[in-house]
Amino acid sequence: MRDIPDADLVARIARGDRAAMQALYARHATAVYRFLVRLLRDAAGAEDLVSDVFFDVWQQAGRYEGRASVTTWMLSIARFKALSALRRRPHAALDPETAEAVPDEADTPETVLQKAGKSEALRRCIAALSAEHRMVVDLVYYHDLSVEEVAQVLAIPAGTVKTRLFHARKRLSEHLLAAGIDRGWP
Amino acid sequence: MPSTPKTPPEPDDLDLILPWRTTGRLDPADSARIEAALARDPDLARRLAIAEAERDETIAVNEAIGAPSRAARDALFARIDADLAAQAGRSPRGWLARLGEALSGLSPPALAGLGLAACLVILGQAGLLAGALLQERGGPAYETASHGGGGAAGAGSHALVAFAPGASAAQIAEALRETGAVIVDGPLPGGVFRIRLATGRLDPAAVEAALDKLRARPGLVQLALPEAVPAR
Repeated sequence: MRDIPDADLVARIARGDRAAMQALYARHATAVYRFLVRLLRDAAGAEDLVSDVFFDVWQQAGRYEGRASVTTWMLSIARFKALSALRRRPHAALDPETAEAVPDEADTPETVLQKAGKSEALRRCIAALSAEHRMVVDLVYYHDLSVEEVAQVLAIPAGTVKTRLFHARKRLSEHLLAAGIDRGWP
Repeated sequence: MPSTPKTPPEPDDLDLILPWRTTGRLDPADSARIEAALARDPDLARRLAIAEAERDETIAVNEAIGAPSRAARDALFARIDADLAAQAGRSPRGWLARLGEALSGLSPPALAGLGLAACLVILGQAGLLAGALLQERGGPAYETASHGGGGAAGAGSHALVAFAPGASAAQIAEALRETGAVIVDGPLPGGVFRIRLATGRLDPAAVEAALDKLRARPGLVQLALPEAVPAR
């Protein structure tokens, strides 16, 4: 199964092939899990959702038409489930899309970056971005998605993907500047 | 002089796509544009280095997260097996029809090989049965066929459970957690899982109480039975 392309695995899963499902899970579960942890900031909740995402893949494999890559398709399902979970959180009285845009102040860069090196500072600032910004940064830099693929996962136009990432990076610069690190951009 | 409204500066078009240069995911036209600009603008190379640092640290942040646990995987495949069992139950064509279909796809030499293998299995089973009979005459001890004499893997109190197809992974994981049970084997035929309720021997009432907790959860299990304790 190791050399079988993702799309072929999904075709096998559509025919009820459990081994293909195991192969797809082995290949993608960690990436999907990390996407969910970064979005929810809740490892236990992310584990439950990983199983839900892959059970959806199991049940909906027959409807996969290959218009998007399998990674893009699975991350779209994961995003949808994560946003639904965020909506169900009792303290998330805000509209989830609005809540997503609120940066997490728990990890205030000013207070934690004084002694950190530049790489560590950057990591902390990446972790402190709003959920909306974390998503686009992760999809581009960690999940290696193209502009069009990110647009599919986030269900927004390609132009919006570019400007959203630009603003996320600008926000990173602001966090770093607040911590005394000027990277001279933008 | 009339005052003009102040608007934030528009981002440079190249800066908008530079991050994708760091992952090699630009389309060919944008890629050519970036390479040409990099050749004539040294400051763009500096901005590219900034994006590369972001990429490296984003990867580091994600890789620090780890991977989902074995329990999450087990819960998922328990649901999948329950779903497969439910599908088999709904299917008008039973396993015999599917077996016939599979056999009809085999070539004559493959069928001959399969027949030979079946003969060997039957002969092997006959030998085992004869051995078992002779052993039985030698002494009164016997064991259950399924789980042998209860070594390390067989120690504790066990039950057989078939999860409902609609049960979510979260429901299964939470129920197992609350009952203190773990999946130790499966799926067995019919999508049944063997779970360990305790590492020690529980009395039948305690086993029933643990199983009642599982049964009480709506839509979680189709079947939950205590496993027969091997006779000693």
